[in-house]
Amino acid sequence: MRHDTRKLVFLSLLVAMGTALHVVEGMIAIPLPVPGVKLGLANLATLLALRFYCLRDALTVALLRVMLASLIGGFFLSPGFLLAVTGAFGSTLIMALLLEHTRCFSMIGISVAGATVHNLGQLLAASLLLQSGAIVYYLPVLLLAALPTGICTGHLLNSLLQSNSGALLAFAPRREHDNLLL
Amino acid sequence: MTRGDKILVAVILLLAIGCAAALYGRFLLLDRPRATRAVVTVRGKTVRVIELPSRGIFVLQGRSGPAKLEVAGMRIRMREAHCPGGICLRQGWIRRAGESIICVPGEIAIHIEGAAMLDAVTR
Amino acid sequence: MNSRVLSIVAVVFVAVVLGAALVRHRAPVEYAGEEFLMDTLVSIKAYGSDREAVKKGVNAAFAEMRRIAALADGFPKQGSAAAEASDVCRVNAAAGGEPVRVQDDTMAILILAKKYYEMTHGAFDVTVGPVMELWGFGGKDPRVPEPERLRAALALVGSQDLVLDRQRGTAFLRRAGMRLDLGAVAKGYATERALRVLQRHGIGQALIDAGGNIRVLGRSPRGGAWNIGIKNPRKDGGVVAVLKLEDTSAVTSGDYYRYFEVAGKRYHHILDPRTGYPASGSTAVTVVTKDAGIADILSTACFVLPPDRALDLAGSMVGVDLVLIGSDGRLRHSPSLQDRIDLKGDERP
Repeated sequence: MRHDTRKLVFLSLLVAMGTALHVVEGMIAIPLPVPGVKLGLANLATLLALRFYCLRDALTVALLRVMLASLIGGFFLSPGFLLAVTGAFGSTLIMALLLEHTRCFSMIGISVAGATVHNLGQLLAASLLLQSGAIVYYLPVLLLAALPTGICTGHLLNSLLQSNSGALLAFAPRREHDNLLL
Repeated sequence: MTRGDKILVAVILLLAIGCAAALYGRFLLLDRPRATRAVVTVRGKTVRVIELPSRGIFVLQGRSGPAKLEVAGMRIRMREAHCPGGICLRQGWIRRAGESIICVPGEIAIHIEGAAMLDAVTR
Repeated sequence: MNSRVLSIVAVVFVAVVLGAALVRHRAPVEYAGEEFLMDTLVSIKAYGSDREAVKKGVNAAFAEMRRIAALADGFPKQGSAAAEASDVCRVNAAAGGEPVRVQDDTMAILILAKKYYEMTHGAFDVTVGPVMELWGFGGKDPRVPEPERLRAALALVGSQDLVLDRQRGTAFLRRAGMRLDLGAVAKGYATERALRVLQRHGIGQALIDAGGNIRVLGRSPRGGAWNIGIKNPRKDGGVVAVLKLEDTSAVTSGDYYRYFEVAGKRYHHILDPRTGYPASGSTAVTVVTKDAGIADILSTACFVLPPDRALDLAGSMVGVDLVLIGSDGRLRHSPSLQDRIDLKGDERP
C-alpha cells in the first residue's frame, strides 16, 4: 500500500514535470528552417518512469503528459496532438526495448534512440495526415536534430540519477531494479 | 557515454547524412528548377495556384481558422496563422522550387513547383 | 503481467502505423519502353502495382502500334512484304481500278479522315499524297515543286473521291494517280489504340509520347495532373506553356518539324490540301482532346486553317481545346483551357 502511494506520487510528479516541460518547450523557438524541432526535455519524465517502473507506467506518463499539454496549449485532438501522441508512443516503446534488452547503452544512447524514433513517428504521422510525401524532405534534419536533443536529455538524466537528490527522486523506489520494466 | 552510445550516435549521423545526400543531392548537384508557381492545398485539396512572381496576400481557410499567405515576388511566407505553435510562421520565406511550407494544425501545405517538372513536351 | 499484453498492443500499433504509411506511400511501379515507329520515337511510361503486369501491358501496346504502323505505312519497298501488308499501299496501287479490302483499323482511320475532311471543308485531306510526294518531305531532298506539276498533282487531291464501303470493308480511290497519306492521322490513331490496350491490361496511369503526340491516362504518378509542356516553336528546349492534363491527349502541329528554306523562306511539311503549299497562318497549333486520333487530325486541320477559323472550329466542338501560336508569334487558346494552362510569359517566342 505504502509502495503504491509512493509510486502514484512519483508518477504524478513525472506527469506534472513532463507537462510543464512540454508546454515550455513549445514556446521556445529553435532557429532551424524546419518545423517541429523541439528540445525533447519532456522525454525526461518518460525516461524516469521507465527507469524506475515499467513500460505501462511510462506510457501512462507519456500519454498523460501529451494530453495535458495539448489541453493547456489548446490543441487537444488536433492534428498536432496526433503527431505528439505518435511520437511519444513510439519513443517510449523503443526506449523500453533498449532498456530491457540491451546493456550497451547508457541513458544517453537510450534517449537519443527515443528522440530519433519520436521524430520519425511525427514525420510519419504528418505525412499520413497531409497525404503528402513531400514532407520526407524534413527527414535528414529531424534525424540530425535528434542527436543534440537526445544527448542533452540523456546527460541531464545521468547527472540527475547520479546526484540522487532533489524532491522528485525522493519519491523514487529505493531498490531500483525491483520491478523494472515489462 | 558508453561505446554503444557512440556507435548509435554515429549510425544516426550517417543515416542522416545518407538521407540528406539522397534527398537533397539532386538539388545541389543539378540546376534547381526555376520556381514557376506555388500550389496551395488545404486538407489535401488544391485551393489556389499562384503563378510566380506575384505579389499580394491570400487568405486561406485552414482547419485552425483563417491564415494569411504573403507572396512577394518569388518569395512566399505565412504571414498570419492561428495554429497553435505557429511553426509555419517561424519558417519564414521560401522561394525555391521544391520547397514547401507545411502547417500541420491548419492542414495547409504550400509547395513551390519548378519549370522542369514536365512529364512530356508536345511538339 | 499486463505489460506483455501491452507490449503486444504496442507492437501492433506501430506495425499498423508503419503499414498504413507504406501502403499509402508505396509509389506505383513504373515501366517505360521506347521504340522507333512511324518515323518517330514512341515512348510509353505506365504505372501499376505489379511490374510484370505493367511490362506486359506496355509490350502489348507497342505491338498494337506496330500493327497499325504496318497498315498505314506509305513508303515500303515496292513488291516487298511490307507493301503487301500495308493497306495504304494496296489502296494506292489500286487507285482508279477497283476497291480494296482493308483491315478494320484502316477503315476506322479512313472514316475518321473523311469525316474531318468534310467538317473542315478540305483543310484536312488524307488524299494529299501526290502533292506531298512532289514536295518530297519524306525523302532526303525536299524541294519547291514547279507550279505546273503542282497544279497537276493538286488535281488528284480530294477525299470526295475516296470511296469507303463499310459493309464490304473496302476502300477505293476513284482516280488513277490518287494517293493516300495517313501521316497526319495514323500516329494519333495508333496512340489511342495503344492506350486502350494499356487499359485492357488494367493499367490506370500511363503516358504515351509518340514523337510529341502526347496521350495521358489517369493522373500523374505524383498525384494530380500531368504537366505537359508546349514546345516553343522558335527555341529549342523552350516551352511556351504548360498544360495540366488528365486522361486526355495533346497533339501539336508545327512548322519546325520538317522544313527547308529557300531564299530565306521557310517551307514546311504541313501542306494546305487546297493550295498545295505550306499553310502559313500559324507556327504551331496544339489540340487538346480526349482521343489522340482526333487530336492528331485536328492539329493538322487547325494548323492549315486561318487562326480565327481554327479557334472557331475548336469552339464549336465539345471537348476540343486549342493552343495556337500565330505566325505573328501571338499565343491564343480556347477559353475553356483557362484553368488547365500555365503560360510562361517570359518565354514567348
